[in-house]
Formats: sequence, C-alpha cells, structure tokens
Amino acid sequence: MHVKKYLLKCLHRLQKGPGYTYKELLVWYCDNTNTHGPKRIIREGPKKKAMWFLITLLFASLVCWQWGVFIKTYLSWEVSVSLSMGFKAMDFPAVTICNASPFRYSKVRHLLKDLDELMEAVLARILAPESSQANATAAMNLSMWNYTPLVLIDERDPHHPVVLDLFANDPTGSASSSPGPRGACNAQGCKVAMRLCSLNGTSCTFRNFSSATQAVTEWYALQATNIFSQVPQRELVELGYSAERLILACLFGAEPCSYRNFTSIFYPDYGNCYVFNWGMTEKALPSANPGTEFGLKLILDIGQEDYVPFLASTAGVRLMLHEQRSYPFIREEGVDAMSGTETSIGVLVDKLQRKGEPYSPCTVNGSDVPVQNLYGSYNTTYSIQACLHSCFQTQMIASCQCGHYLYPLPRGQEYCNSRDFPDWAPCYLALRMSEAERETCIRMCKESCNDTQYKMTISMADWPSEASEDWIFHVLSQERDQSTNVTLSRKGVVKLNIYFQEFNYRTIEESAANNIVWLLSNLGGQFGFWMGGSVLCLIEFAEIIIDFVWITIIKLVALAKGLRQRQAQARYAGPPPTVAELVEAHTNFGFQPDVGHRSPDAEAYPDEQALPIPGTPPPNYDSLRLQPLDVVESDSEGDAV
Amino acid sequence: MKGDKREEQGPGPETVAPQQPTEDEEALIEFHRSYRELFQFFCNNTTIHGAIRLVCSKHNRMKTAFWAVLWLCTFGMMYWQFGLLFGEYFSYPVNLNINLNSDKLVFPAVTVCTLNPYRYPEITEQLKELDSITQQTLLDLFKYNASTLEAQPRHRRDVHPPLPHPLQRLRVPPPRLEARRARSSASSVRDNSPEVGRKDWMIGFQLCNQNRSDCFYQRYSSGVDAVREWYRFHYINILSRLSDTSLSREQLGNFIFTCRFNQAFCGDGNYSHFHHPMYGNCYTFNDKNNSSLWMSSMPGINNGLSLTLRTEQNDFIPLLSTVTGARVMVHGQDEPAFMDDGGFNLRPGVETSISMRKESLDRLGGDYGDCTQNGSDVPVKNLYRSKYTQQVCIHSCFQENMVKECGCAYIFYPLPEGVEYCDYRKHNSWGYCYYKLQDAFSSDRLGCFTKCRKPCSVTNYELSAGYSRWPSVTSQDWVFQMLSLQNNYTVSNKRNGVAKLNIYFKELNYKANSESPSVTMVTLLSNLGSQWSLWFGSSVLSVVEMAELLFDLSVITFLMLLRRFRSRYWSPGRGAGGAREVASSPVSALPSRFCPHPTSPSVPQPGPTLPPSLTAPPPAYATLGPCLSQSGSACAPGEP
Repeated sequence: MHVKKYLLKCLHRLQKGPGYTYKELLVWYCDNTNTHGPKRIIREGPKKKAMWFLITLLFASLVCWQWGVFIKTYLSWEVSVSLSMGFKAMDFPAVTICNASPFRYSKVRHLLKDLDELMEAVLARILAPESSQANATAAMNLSMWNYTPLVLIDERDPHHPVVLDLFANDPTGSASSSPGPRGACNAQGCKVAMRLCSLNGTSCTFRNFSSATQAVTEWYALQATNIFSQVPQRELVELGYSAERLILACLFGAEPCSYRNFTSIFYPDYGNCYVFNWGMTEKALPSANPGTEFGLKLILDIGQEDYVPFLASTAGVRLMLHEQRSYPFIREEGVDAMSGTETSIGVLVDKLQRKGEPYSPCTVNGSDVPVQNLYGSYNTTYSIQACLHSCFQTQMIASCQCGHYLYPLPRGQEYCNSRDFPDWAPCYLALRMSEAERETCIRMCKESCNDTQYKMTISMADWPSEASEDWIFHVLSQERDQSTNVTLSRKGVVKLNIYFQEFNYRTIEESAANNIVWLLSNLGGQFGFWMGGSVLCLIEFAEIIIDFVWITIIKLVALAKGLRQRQAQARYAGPPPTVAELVEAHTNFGFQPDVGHRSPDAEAYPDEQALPIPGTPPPNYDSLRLQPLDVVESDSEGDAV
Repeated sequence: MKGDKREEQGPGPETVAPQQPTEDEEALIEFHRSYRELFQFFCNNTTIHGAIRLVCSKHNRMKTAFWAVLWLCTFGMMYWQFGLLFGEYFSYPVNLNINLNSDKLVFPAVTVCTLNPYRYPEITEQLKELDSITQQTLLDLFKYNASTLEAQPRHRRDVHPPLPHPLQRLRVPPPRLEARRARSSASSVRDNSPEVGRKDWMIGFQLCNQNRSDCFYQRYSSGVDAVREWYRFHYINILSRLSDTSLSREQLGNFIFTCRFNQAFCGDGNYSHFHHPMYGNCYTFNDKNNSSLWMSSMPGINNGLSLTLRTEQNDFIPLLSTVTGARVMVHGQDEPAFMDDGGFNLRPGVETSISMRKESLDRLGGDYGDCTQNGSDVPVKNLYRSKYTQQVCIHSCFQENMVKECGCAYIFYPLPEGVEYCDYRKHNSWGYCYYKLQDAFSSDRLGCFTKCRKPCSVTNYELSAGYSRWPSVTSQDWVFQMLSLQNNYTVSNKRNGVAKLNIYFKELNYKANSESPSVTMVTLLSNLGSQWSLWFGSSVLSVVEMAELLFDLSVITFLMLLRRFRSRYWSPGRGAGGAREVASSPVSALPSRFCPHPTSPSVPQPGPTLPPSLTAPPPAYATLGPCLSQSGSACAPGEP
C-alpha cells in the first residue's frame, strides 16, 4: 500500500517535470554553476555576452583537447624503468655441464658399426672418386641408408653437372657417369650434397654444402639421430658419461661437494648432462661474496679419447648458467670450455622485470600461451626457448607425423626414424628452413615477465702449470682409478671457476610511468586551470542535461496528447473541450503543489512570494532574468530571516 | 558576497566578545540560529563546488540527498587520491636518466700480476719443511712419489717436529663431533645419497679450538683441492713470519718486457708495485701515483695499453701456483685491486685483446636510496688507503671481526694497527677460528653485508675479450730473438713463455646512468592542487574557509553550552529565558550534531514554517537577532 502510494508519488513527480522551462533552466544553470565563465554569459550586455560565450567555448574545447591528450598518454601504457646495480648475497646460479660428446664411443660402437663403415667408405670415395673401392662398399647392406644418400655433384662443366651417387652399389654406374680425367676435383668443382627424396623417391631436392666436412657431419648426425631414436632413453643414459667419471673434484666456497650434488639430465645431442644447484628438491645455495674463494670450483675429465669420431668434433665441456628450476637449453645458450685450461667465469646477474599486460606483452608462467609446453614433465618454469621448441615439435608432428629426436614428445607420439617414416628427413629439413613456420612460433610465444640472464666474463689460463702438473695428475689418477700411474692427460682435464663479480647484479625494473593518480591530477589541473571546474561541475552539467531530457520528454508527451486531441477534435468535429477538461488536464500535471515546491527555490522563491501580493499575471521570465543581482542579496537575507 | 562577509564578521568579534557579559541571551540567540544558518551561509558562499547545491536544491529532497551523497563520495575520492599521492611522495621514487656521453676518457688503472707469489728458488729455504711433509703426505695418501719436487733426504723429516693439522683421509660420514654437526647443518651443501664406496673417502684436516675441546674437520672431496688448501693454510703461516723486505723485489723488466700506451713507451714512472701473497708481484699502471693520468682520446687497439708479459713457469711454487699465465684487472684509479673478484686470466702463448666499455651509475642517496657518498657514515673502519667501495668495506669488516674473534689478522687483508698476522705458532687455534668465521661470514651472520652500504656513485668497466695465438709460427723466431737480446730472456718452451695483452676502449661513448627524484615537493603540491581542483574546484583558501567553519562551529557550541549552563544554575528563576531555551534547543541541537547532510531531509520541514513567519507576528528571536547585531539590509527583507 505504502509502496504503491510512493510509486504513485514518484510518477506524479516525474510527470510534473523539474519545474522549469528550457530557458529558465539555462539561466539558472549559468547563474549557479561553479564552472567559471557561464556566469558571465548571462550577466552582461550582448557584446560581452557573445565574447564570454566564445571564450567559454574556447576554453571548454581547450580542456577537452588537453583531456584527450592526457587520456591518450595514459592509454599508451608507458613504462619507466629503474636500474640498480651493486653486490648482494644472491642464490648461486644453477650450473649445467655437458661433455661435448654425447656418448662414449666404446659403448656405442656396436650401434654405429654399420654407419661408421659406410662413412669410411664414403670418405674414401670423396677423397679418391675414380678408384672407388667397390669391394668395400659392395659387402655392406646399403638399403638402410638409401633414404637420404650423399651425392657428389661434379660442376666442372657448369651446363652439365654430373651427379654421382656415393652409395651406388655398382661401381660401373659411377664410372660411366664420370668419364674422362677425374684428376683433382677441388671444392669449387665438386660438391658433396645430400639428396632429399620424398614420396617414394619421386620428388628429390639437393641440399648443397660448400665443404665436404660439413656435408659429412650433417649427414652423419642425421643418420645417428635415426639410430638413437630407436633406443629407449634408459639405455642411452647408460651409454653416456657418468657423473662419477666426469666430475673429478668439486668445491663450493669452503664446502666440499661431489658428483652426488649434481642432478642428471639427459640431452639427445649432448648425452648426460649434470646440473649443480638446480633447486628442484633442495634449497638453492647462496653465495655471499664475490671472488673465486666463494664460488664453484670444478675439475672435470672429458675423456677425449673416447669421443664418437664423426659426431663430436669439438672437444671440451659445454656449460651454461641458468636460473634455478629452469630448463637448461644448453645447445642454444651454452658456452664451451677448453681442455687443459682453467676457465674463470665471473658472473653478473642481469634481471629484467617487465610490468606485464597491458604495459608490455609478457607472460608470468606461460599459462596464457597457446602452445602446449612439452617441457612440463621436467617441472621447470616457463621460458621462451621451451615454448619455441614445443612449438616446433608440434609443427613437426603436424606436418611429418613424427617427433624430432632432439625435442620432447607429446603423449602418444613417436620419434622419427627412417624405417617407419621414410619421408621424415626432407620434411624436417623443409620445416627447419621455413621462415613462415618460425615466424608463427615466434609470434605465439611470449617472453616471460621475469627474465634473468647471466652475463659472464670468461678468461682462461693454462692449467695445470708445468711445475704442478705432475702431482695434480697423480693425485687425480690415484683418486679416480687407485692407480699409481697417471691415467689423465692435459687433453682431458678442464678446470672451471665460477664466481660472482664485484658487481653481481643489475636489475632493470619496469614501473608504470603514468598511473591513475597522475591522470586524475592532470585532468583536474587542466580543468581547474582553464575553467575553474571540478568533477562536481561535470555532474552539474549532467544534471542539467537530465533535466533537459526530462522536460523534453514531458513536452513530447504533451505534444503527442495534444496531437491526439486535435485529431479527435478533427474526427468528431464536435464541441471543443470544455474549460473544466482543460483545467483538469493542467491539474493532472500537479501544478497546485508545484507552486509550493518551486517557491523555496533560490530565485523563484522571493519573486513568487512577492508577486502574488499584487496579484499580477504569471511572471514574464525575461523580467526574472534581469533581477538576479538583487535576488542574490535578498535571497541570503530572506533565508537568514 | 561582500554583505555576507560583513555579516560573518559581525557576530564573531562584536557579538561574542562585548555583548556576552551583558546580553548573553541575545548573543546566544544570534548563534543558536546560526547552526543551520551557518551551514547555509557556508554552502552558499564557499568556493567549494557542490556545496551550493546542497542548499539551493533543498526543495527537492531527492536532489539534496543525491548531492549530499555525491559530495561525500567526491570527498572520499579526494582523500583517497591524496593518500596515494602522499604515499608516492614518501616512497621517494626516482627517475633514471641515461646519458650516452662521448668524451675523452681517463684510462682506468690496470693491474697485472704474475700468478706466482715468489720465485721458487728464493723461497725454498722457508718452504723446505712444508714441502717435505707435503711430499710425504702425497706418498702416504696417493702413492705419489714426487720426483719433480725438490727431493729432500728422508731423514730430515724426522728432524722437524710434525706440523699441526696433518692432512688425513676421512671416512664419510666421519665420526662427527658436535661442532661439525652444527657446521654441516648450517652449510647447505649436502650429499644427495650418501653411500659407501671408494669415493666416499674425503680428505681433510682437523682444526681445534684453544683447549682442544671442540674440533671439526675441514673436508674436501678431492685430493687436489685438499692438498692445495692445506698447503695454502700452512703457507699463510710461513708468510706471516716473513718480513716484507726479506725477499728481493722483482724488477719490472723481469715480468713485463714491453709496455706501450698510445704508441708511446711507458716505464718506471707509470706504475706502482705491490706484492700480493697469492697472486705475486703486481704492477698497477696508471693509478693515482702516476705522474699524469693517461687519457684515451681514440678508441681502438692502437690507442690502449699493450704489454708483453713473461709467463715462464719453471720457477713456480708447484703446490701453490697451479695456474699458468698472468692475471689482469681493470679498476678505478683510487680503488684497490681485488684480483680475486674482478681479475681476468691471460693464457701463455696467446694475445688477449680486452676491450672495455665504461658505465657509471650515480644514485641520489639520502631518502631516495640506501647508499653512502664517501663511506664516512658506515660503521666500519676503512683499512685500505683508498676510496670507499663496497668490497673495501666488506674486507675491512671481515678483518675487524677476525681481529676481534681470533686475536690476529688474516694475511690477505690489510693489517690494522697494533695487530699481527695469524701464525699458529703464536695463535694456535686461529685456523679453527678463521674457518668458523668464514662460515658465519658467508651466511651473513657477521652482518657485514648490512653494515656495508653501496656507494652512491659506481663506475664499472665491462670487459670482453678476444684471443689469438701469439707469436705466429712465422714470426716467433725473430720475436724470441729480440726478447733474448733485449731482456736476457731465453724462451725455453717456445710459445708458452710469453703472453701479450692489449687493453683498450671499445668506444669512447660511455653510459652514464643517473637518478633524479621523480616526485618533488613542487610536483606534490601541484598534484594536490590538481586533485583538489578536480574534485571540488577549490584551493587553499577553501581550506581556510573550512577551517573557519570549524572554528565558528566550535565557538557556537561553546556559547550554547555556556548558555545552557548559565540558564540552569546561574539564573534558574528566569522563566522566559528557560522557555525560550527549551524552544530553541531542539531545533538547534539536533542539526548541529548531524549537519549538514543527514539532516538535510529535515531541513525542508522548518523551511515551510519560515514563510508564515514573515506574515505572522514574528517570534521574538527571529527578528531580534539580525536587527540587534546588524542594522540595515539584513532586516530589510523581513520587515516589509
């Protein structure tokens, strides 16, 4: 009941309107607004009025323009950076070390036997093509290697290049294709290339190399991939270098450490790698002081004599410093240390902290990147390398139906090998060359918001020195093999010193250049400066607009009613509405209480009060407008009474 | 506005002060009415936007409430923003300015060390005893018969008393003593899976405190580390017994064959020499003692320092200097050279080209960041006669603690006054004390890292190096010929006997990072003003207006209370006064508590009662107040 009454009241109030006409409203607004300027428009003579109107308009547009500039600046999400540099106790970086050779040749020889024999034959053919040892190759089963054979392209006659298959089983074929004097065929004349055939050998392309060394290495790596991808990983781990053999001595600060402090991780292309201070299970070790005495000292034995001859042509240790709990992409980001030297690595930790969306595009943990992270099984943090590799593997599976041996496999897929996927090699090489595919990956993968890089200053000195060589090798041999003879040599030992530099960190942090406080301050400053306005002025303006709309709607309704009435009049052509009806129409708008309500209003009130006494007709609004100067005074006193 | 001011001023000093003692009733009536009036007056005349709407929209309750809520909201918003602004100001943010300057640069000081403390023949006398015991240890533990080390007759070992802290082979886990357990729990290097095997032997030596009640083993997993560290430990003791002058200082010509800077010869005037107990003879070029500092006005390899160094290793101390080459460090002119922290090794037989790039960072200090200008406000005495750097402070701090805890000074750091270097003949437990202290230092239990603050201005040289074989096969003959002729140096081992070093600026423009405060007092005030203007369109004067309002309110309240007190106790007989008081108090007291906003709905109620008051016989208080206080225009509208 009450609600209904209240609603009815509201309806009446709404029907009644704000109680002004347009002009009255405008005048009232100009007179009472707090924005400077409008007051002047109504106060003075017509010329000044025009001038003030223009000035107000000009300043209003100035304010609008300035606001636009500020809001645009704010929405450009600029960042400011702060840089700090110095020394502080920090977690020592995780150190990953790998032997340059993935496997010990003595253990993988049986797997690579066929390939090596073939390789030797091929090398012999390249070196002396005309006297091809047919008897050596003929005995071999070549069918397995025929998917991507090596060929020799004789380009001495540029118009008729002669293609010579190095694996051709019958030597006569090669002999017939290469008549005449073979003689010295230099690198410009004869090129070794890889023939890539797909679709059962129907479409073939050649991949050229400028040097036979490169061609042979590439080809061997491709074939070895083929072999190792068929061996389960558990066995591959056995074939590589064990931590016990690799790590001879380890000292962190003053604390002893041993190969047991290293976590093993298997890389397809580097074999067994070992991570120190990975922080996966135990807390990361801090280092409190710069200098070698507080860093990590390692002595490693790379066992160079047991390298796989065609697979590892570099001798040394590959190492990489990375963040705790991040996956070491040692092939992409590692550095090499030479044997027979002491490599000192001074570390500077370079940290970049991005602000994230919307300031700079980056991802906090990779969950918003549309690439499935295949390195998730290692329980490592997101990095852009992991994303790029996962992306490549996904593409590889999409286009070649098998995964590349170097990258982890998604569930339910298998690695490529020539037996099951004969076309994989051309497919892989095409994909690797493809610019567009790489672009898609780079576009999809976002950088991570907290980026840590380790800047290294690397220096080398010979180790051990001639004077100390003898006892050092003796002690190391005794420790490893309990032999009184020296079992190590200068070619095999590597010493690493990894320590913090005098300045060990440099942090670049992004922060928002323009925050919301800045924006509001500037908006307010501009509005206040040009027009003396505030937010409340805006709301005043909005109020006036609402009143305007309100009046307009009421007028429209009245107009519509009037129109209908006129139509009704026209249709019936009956008697015109009586005075009572008209009065009723007026009373419906509730004019009666309106007078009472409107009267306390700032201007209307005294006039309303004054005017009824003489009993004059309703006021002309022009007269109202001319009065405000007096009104203000009388108004305040009227209130005071 | 003018009239209002007059009215405002009128009641304050005139009515309150002179009239109160005589005609307090009138004065009170004047003020009693002003509670509402005051707000109305304030709202009408203040420069704070929005306030006027509260008054002029009072015929429309909806609007009044709306404006009241709005006013409160913007008020809240403003103070929230104020809070943010103040918070920002008091966090003292800084802006980073990066300048890429290109200028003539002062060439930094370059220190080159031999990596071998003493020539072996010179120091054999002192090391004889230690060497023979080390040989015996190597034979015992590793079955290594040192033939290359200077063979000592076996019987001489028995002559000497055995050295303290013998090297032992330890089983893992060793019989742990209490101290060792505490130590290992503090240390975080732990074996992942301790198991039994031949690898589980560790090498170490025992260290005990003064009365041998507490011992622990300093252990090493590898014999190479163990022997070297153990040898080094004893070597420190021997060294502390040596006086500085007992060994002849090496000549520059014996280590540095050629020296050129900017294509010009450099010689004795350009370097200073010091002896480092581990890195040997060190020569600092272009330090502050240099006659005139070297300037680099061109980048490139021809405009830097170029040295040819002797790296002959025959006379190295075999058990101490296991590394061959030289160590070089680039540092500022008045900074000490910490070869350990920032050194760079050179390989024999190789030309090492080190290119530098300068970068400097100037912090503001003070409130803007934790740094010290010159180290005078750091509670650590600088033991080095050099500029304050963080490392200088940390080393001094360690030495200070060492002297305090162990009673002697560590030989690698400078000697404080009145203290001598550690030697187990004098301080028999210093090893125990030192290793304990170092452990505490590494885990920052000594507080050195918190005590030593960063210096405000830091200059850093970024180094990158390139290597190439030197001398080349075709040129080595004449190079060695020249060396042997000029320096009397015959290279026995061909290439390995010499090394070449080039240090130069990669580019002369250097990055200068400096800080400037990003929010100053001016910006803060400007922002405050802007915010105030944004939300209320007001200024400092508006604040004064608000203060005035508060002052007026308190004065009125005080007068009200005073009057009530008087009417109740002082003149209870005056019925008229009491009645008037009763009539007036509900109107005045209530709004005064909740004014202006929550009571604004109640304002219109007395509002309509006012118009009748104009025509009806006026109540005494309504007309009396203005007429008494203010003659003239104030009463004028009421009377006609």
